[in-house]
Amino acid sequence: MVIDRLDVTAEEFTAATGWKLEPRGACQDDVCVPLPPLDVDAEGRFDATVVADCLGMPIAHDETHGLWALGPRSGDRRVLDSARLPDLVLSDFDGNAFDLASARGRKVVLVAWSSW
Amino acid sequence: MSPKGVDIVTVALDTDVEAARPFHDAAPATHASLVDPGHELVAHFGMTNAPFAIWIDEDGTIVRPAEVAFAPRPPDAERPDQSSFVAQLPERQRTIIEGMTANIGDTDRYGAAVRDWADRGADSPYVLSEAEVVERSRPRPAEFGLAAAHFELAQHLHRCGFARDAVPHFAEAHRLDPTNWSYHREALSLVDPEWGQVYERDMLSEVEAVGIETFYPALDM
Repeated sequence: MVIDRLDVTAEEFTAATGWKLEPRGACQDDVCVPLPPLDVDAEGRFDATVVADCLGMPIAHDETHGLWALGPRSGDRRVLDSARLPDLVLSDFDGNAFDLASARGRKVVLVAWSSW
Repeated sequence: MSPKGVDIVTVALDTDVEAARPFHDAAPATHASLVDPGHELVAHFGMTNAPFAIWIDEDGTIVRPAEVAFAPRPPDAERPDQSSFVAQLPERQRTIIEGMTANIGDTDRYGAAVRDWADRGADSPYVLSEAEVVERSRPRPAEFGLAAAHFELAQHLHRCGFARDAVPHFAEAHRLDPTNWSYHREALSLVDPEWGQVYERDMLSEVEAVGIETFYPALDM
């Protein structure tokens, strides 16, 4: 997700990355990554780069528009952490939501195509 | 396939959904036909070009990671003959295109594998263990993660009407992760021809420089 400031609240960080900030660290599903003590201001904002760095999330910046994007966890890892299908909801061409989990109970070949 | 318990779900990887819509409309789908303007399939599964596919079993477990997935081609008599078109191209272009498409000729093999999975389920030799699926999925070193972040910025700027400002981020995504052709092909599709050449090289030159074999990697099945 693209953000327009690097000092974020815990809610904003979760919305941007899916990772929740808990007393034991940044957590998602069964995984928790320990964090150093965060310098949180009166509005509940902290430096997102500190948490992103602990999680191995690179940050890209656009100076002209004052925007940042947090990339996926990366480093000595692969695209898939496990073979479990992640939560993923896409839309059809009419804008109707389609939850891939709705196909549970059947085999699915998920094919990506493109006009290009 | 559907009577055998295999559903096909297709997803258009187009930042501009309207670019994909004519293809969708021309062949009304009987299966779920979805759109992915944010390229979530690229981020989640490592699809680096199209067509790519993954297999998901009844329990929601991925049993084959992202790989090239061309549908079986119709008999020669029923499809346009592109070989004569390619044969007329200058030698350099012809060599590159033939190299890019060398691995897609065996499309019947992929279709046969899907049918085998439909028939035999988990006993199919094409079904991989969870460990194999993870191991065969694409590596994601730090530079690939940063590429994904630049690609997201580029997409955001394009959607917000700052198409020219998106170009450097598309270019940076491709520079950092050059074998992810979904980045480069998407970027090229969004360039306004009136801008002239905004990327350093044309498509074929880029493929030649990065590695022809990376465009449609050979199936490992």
